[in-house]
Amino acid sequence: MTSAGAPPLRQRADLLFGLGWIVLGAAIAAGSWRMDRLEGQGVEPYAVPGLVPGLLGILLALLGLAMALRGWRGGAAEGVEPARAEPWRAALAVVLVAGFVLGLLGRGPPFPLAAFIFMLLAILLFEWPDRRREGTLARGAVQAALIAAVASGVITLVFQEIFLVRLP
Amino acid sequence: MPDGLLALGRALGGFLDPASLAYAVGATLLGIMVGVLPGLSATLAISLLTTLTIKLPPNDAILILVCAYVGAIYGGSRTAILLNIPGTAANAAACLDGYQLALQGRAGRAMGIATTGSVAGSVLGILCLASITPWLAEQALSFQSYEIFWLALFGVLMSGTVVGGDPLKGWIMGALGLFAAQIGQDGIHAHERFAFGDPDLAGGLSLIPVLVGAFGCAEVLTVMAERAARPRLHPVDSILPRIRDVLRYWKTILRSGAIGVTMGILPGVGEDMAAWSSYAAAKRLSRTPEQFGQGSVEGLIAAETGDNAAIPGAMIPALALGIPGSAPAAVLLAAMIIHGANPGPMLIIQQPQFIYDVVAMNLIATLAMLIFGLTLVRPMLVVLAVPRSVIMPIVLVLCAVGAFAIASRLFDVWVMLAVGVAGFGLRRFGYPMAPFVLGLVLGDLLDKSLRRGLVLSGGEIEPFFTRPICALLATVVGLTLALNIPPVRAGWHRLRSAAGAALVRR
Repeated sequence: MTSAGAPPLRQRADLLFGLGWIVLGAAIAAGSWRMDRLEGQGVEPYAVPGLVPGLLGILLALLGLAMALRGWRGGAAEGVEPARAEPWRAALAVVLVAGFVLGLLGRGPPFPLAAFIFMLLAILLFEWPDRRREGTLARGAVQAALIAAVASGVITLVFQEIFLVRLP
Repeated sequence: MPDGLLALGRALGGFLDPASLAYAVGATLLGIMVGVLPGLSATLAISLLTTLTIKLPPNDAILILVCAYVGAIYGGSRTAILLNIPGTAANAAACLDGYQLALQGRAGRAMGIATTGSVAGSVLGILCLASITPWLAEQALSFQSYEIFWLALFGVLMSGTVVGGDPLKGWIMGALGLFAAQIGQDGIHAHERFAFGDPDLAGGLSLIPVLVGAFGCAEVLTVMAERAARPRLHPVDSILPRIRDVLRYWKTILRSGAIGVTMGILPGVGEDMAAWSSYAAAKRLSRTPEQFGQGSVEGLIAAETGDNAAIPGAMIPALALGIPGSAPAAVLLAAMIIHGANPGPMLIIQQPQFIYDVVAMNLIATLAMLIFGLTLVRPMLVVLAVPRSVIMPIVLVLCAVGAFAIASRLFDVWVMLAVGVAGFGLRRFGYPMAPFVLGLVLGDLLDKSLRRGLVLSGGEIEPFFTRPICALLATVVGLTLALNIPPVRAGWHRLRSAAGAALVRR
């Protein structure tokens, strides 16, 4: 799966990620080294809690080094999926989801309301371009509100009442 | 053997009440629907259903999960054949020939073949599950920490090597997953690691929120970030499978079943690898290899038999060793632990009936799959008409609920979000999530085994390399690592093609 003419961005990605992994691995190894050795409890040096994290940190740093070297030498970036995403969609998706989880859940609005708001916004905003082109914005809004209401109601009902599961 | 059959009979009898059968039917149907929808995987379905079924009695809950698992892997073949869109990764191989058959106006026949292959694979897998699991569990009783350490490492390494296109990225994700499992109180001394004083982190990252984040939230973000095209449906002819097809390709079916079960047993390697390996083997050994990719019945049967055989196959190491054979099996394992089963070598001693219960669940799921496969073709596809912009937000809300429901902690939902966003970003650069998940599942086991082993041996690492099974596993691990270093790999390829050319010339 090697391609000689891989776009420079992807090779840089390998190099940058590689460096990042090296830093992370080193940090993990350092944290493990500084971890309590528990000599007070009579723990042998080879059974300290920091053993495996430390080894993993070193492993991660080594793998990161291999990746950085590969990126630096300009090798192929393997296994990368072709980018089909539109940047604004990706950003909007992350903002909406993060907003829902961090902003709405557990902060005050009861769950059905939080879910309703999120779903309404998500459906509306993502369908916006298509709907605007087709001229069905109003209908789209009503449909979205309906779907969001029904879905949040059903989810609440099914989880809370039928299966007795706590909701955020 | 006879008391095995007796136990199986007792297990089946236990499930023959209306409530259990209703659960089985509903779960299989739900699984098929999830399988049909691209972007939703078996792992996600099982994760969400685990939270939904927490309050149910254990056998019913696990029955639902097994049925959903079987249904999801099977359901993906519908869209693979009709729309050239694999519903789950395991069905990608079915796209190749299934869709070609659909283009030739033989969609119904293709689906009948897929159903036949799936049922055959399931049955073969179930036979292996029933016979191999008790044997493997007994062998595992003699496993000590040394062997378990290597098994855990082998599992993560395998998963990283095979999943996705780039082993290096797979190993990095595996290492990250192993590290993520170390966060929190360590398994031997309960010493807090990397918690930075936060009480939530001290409890560690629990599996279900991470799974839901990696396979649910990340997937939702990925799908929402893309523009979706509306698929076109092809006409469907008769879907009753012809016995002739089954009888003619019996060798392919048996071979694919064996490959599927083996792939399932290998930790970290699951249904998608099983499908591809069976397909590749069938193509290499077929009398009509040029047909493959043009609508070969043999190819389709091989792929579908393989991926369904991997389902019971993945449960074998989960039940016998406590090491999952695939990502969905990892969730199943977690669910079993939540419900009080104790998978691992002790299972055969403490709860032997449970193994046969799982066998019975697989049988019921296979039967349900057969019935639905033959009857519910068109209605299933209606599900596809629902636009992604509607489904994905709903799925995300379900993910949030699912992450929260296990321990009622908002922290779990934040973990889901973090893993989801990180996973979304990493996937765009080719980093696969499956090795990360496997690392998380096996990390604690790896940690405890290594340290216990060292304590047992008094600090010597020699037993880790000289005990027979350890030596074998260590060799495989070493070879796998070595073979993936580019210069070594190039040399190996040259060697192989030279050998292949020599054989052909003969």
